Amino acid sequence: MSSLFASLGIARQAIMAQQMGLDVTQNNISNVNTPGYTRQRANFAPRDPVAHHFYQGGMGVLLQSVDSYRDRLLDYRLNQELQRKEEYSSSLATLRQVEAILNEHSGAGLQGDITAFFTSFSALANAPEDAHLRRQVLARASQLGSRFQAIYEQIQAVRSLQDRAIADSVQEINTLTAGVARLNVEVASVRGSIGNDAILRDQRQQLLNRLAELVDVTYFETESGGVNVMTRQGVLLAVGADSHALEVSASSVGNRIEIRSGGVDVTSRIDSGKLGGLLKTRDDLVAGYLETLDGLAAAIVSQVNAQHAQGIDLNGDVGGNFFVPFAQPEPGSNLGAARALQVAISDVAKIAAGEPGLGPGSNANAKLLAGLQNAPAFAGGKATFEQVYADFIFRIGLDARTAHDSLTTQETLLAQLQYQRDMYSGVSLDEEAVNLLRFQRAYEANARLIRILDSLTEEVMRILGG
Amino acid sequence: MRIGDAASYRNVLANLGMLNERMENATMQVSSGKRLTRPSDSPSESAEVTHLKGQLIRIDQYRTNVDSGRFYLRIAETALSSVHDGLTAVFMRGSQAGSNFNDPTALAALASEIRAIRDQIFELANSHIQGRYLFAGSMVHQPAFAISGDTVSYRGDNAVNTVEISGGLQVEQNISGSAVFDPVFENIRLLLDGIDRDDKTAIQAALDRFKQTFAAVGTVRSRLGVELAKLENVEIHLQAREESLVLRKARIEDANMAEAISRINQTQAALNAAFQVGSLVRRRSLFDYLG
Repeated sequence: MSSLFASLGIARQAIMAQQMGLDVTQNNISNVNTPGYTRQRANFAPRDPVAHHFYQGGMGVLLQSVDSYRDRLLDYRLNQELQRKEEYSSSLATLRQVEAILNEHSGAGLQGDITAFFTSFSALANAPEDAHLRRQVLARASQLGSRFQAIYEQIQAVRSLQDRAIADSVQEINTLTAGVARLNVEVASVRGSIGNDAILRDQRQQLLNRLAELVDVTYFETESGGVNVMTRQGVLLAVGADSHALEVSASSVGNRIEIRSGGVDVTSRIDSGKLGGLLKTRDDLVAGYLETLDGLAAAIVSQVNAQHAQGIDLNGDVGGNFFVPFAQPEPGSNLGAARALQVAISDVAKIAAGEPGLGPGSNANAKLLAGLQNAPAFAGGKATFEQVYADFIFRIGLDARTAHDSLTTQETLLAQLQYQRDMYSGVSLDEEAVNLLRFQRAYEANARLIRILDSLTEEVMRILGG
Repeated sequence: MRIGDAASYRNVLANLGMLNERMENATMQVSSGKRLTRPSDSPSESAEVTHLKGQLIRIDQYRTNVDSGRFYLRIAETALSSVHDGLTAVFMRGSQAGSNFNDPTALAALASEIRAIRDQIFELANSHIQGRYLFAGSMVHQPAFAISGDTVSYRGDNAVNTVEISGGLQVEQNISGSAVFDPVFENIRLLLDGIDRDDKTAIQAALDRFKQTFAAVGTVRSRLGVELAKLENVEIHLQAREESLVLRKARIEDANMAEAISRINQTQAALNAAFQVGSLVRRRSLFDYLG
């Protein structure tokens, strides 16, 4: 049987334990809306008993630990799915802009200008000597050039925005990996102390989740409690107390962006996340669109110029270049052709609509120029300008649709995972209300016990003091 | 089952987000009148609309070409009709000149009348619209025919322009002035020569040749008639084709307003319900029941 003072000590510790339980509950309630917060639980255990004459006497309660309700596997899955969601999200944002630039459903798109340009030659065939119709041909050609240039410049502007977003993402990745490395040190230093470890881990998990939104990361925890972070293809980002910064630079080949780590090009080893989405969209999808536009423009220039040279103008001279010829920057490359599309002639008399040897009323070459729109000039002589452009629109639509559908699926999946995480790790105010009552009542009971022990002690003192 | 507070709010937010997106899509359809507002709404249908737009622009141009062709061919046909009338008048006066009842004064008067009619035909042969000589082949900037005495010579060429009036279908837009008018003017010259010389044999020979000349003009007029008929048929075909393409494009591209508005109403009802659920989530707490 323990002494009165020993009992007072047991009651004091019990009060402290309930106080701690109240603190944990209060902390949970306070963080009910904190993103990424993992609810905590005060773990109580009976103190080791003390042997008395007849039995093992209980020594009250001990706050053993404050645990976080963290499902690491769920956290990891959430982290991985976040990467894909952000990849699709950044792709979709860019593709929506490209769709708006092409404006095929809400006005005159490039298709309309291409067809209008070629049909202006068909109109000219009605009266090849007519200055008004000739001016119309040049106006349509000029409009076509302006449209190509505008679309090209606008898509380039989208790429410039992507460049800035890539630079910002890399900067944020570096800040986050530095934060993870710092928290690795802090987790190791407070490891074993009650409570702090969990809060730091929450903070680190938040950083990891934000990191996952930006780049495809994988991570694992070491024995010291630190996490090592790398991309799925092995680019190290944070190892223990060290972080490895990424750098952005322009590629020496084409107009591409390179991501470097320690001076090494690691672009191809970044798959997902916002950065992965931006890189793929910028240098695969959008670059592909610009390549198609360039190819289309280069083919129009070369085909029209070649046919134009087969005719004669109003002065009886052989046709010169209708468009400014495009000089390929390197063999097989049409880079910049869309931006460079420009009419070479300003004198309407220079349009070579006629057949050599005939007078100004001949329309033979105007008809052949008009007929180019139906000529299979692409895909090894199997596709017309219009078919290539329709395919182009289909491709952009499909890419945007795929990104949209993937994003929707990913958001649903992510919502389910977040729901699961909330069910397990999230704070329930009802539960905390019950805990509050529980700890409050226990606190009150222990306080009353102390009062009883106090009155007993006072009684003993009174007897002794007699 | 344990449900965290954040989970409840997250569900409400996710549902509101989904409903708002649905509402935005339906509203955009109603306000724009379009079912397809961007290629990703339906990539394959967007590609088809792109084709349809190209075809409609071409059909519009074909119809312009039909109008233009009909304009020139009708002018040519009118001119040749007048030429036919002129030739008839010349033939009648030539027949008068070939009889044995004309004195030199009468013959001179007949020759003068024939020359006047010839000059009218000459004017018709040099028909022009806005500086374009219709019977000069490709030499449209200069008169098709020149006259010196009673000799009329062709100064154009034999180029015949065709224009496309439907996919691959061409129509002749002009006729060779030389083929039509050279025999006419040569015949009149021979007739006048015979009258001037009062050579009944020459007059009769010239009159005999008129049958061929009438036949030649008639053949060309028939050809013009055929081309004009072709234009009429093609125009009907183009109109039908255009209507069909416009209908197809509208079916693909245009919003079904009744359906879209009904969807807005449905989504609005769902949104109202979601808002109410959201407010219930906020109200439901055990703390409300604790003293």
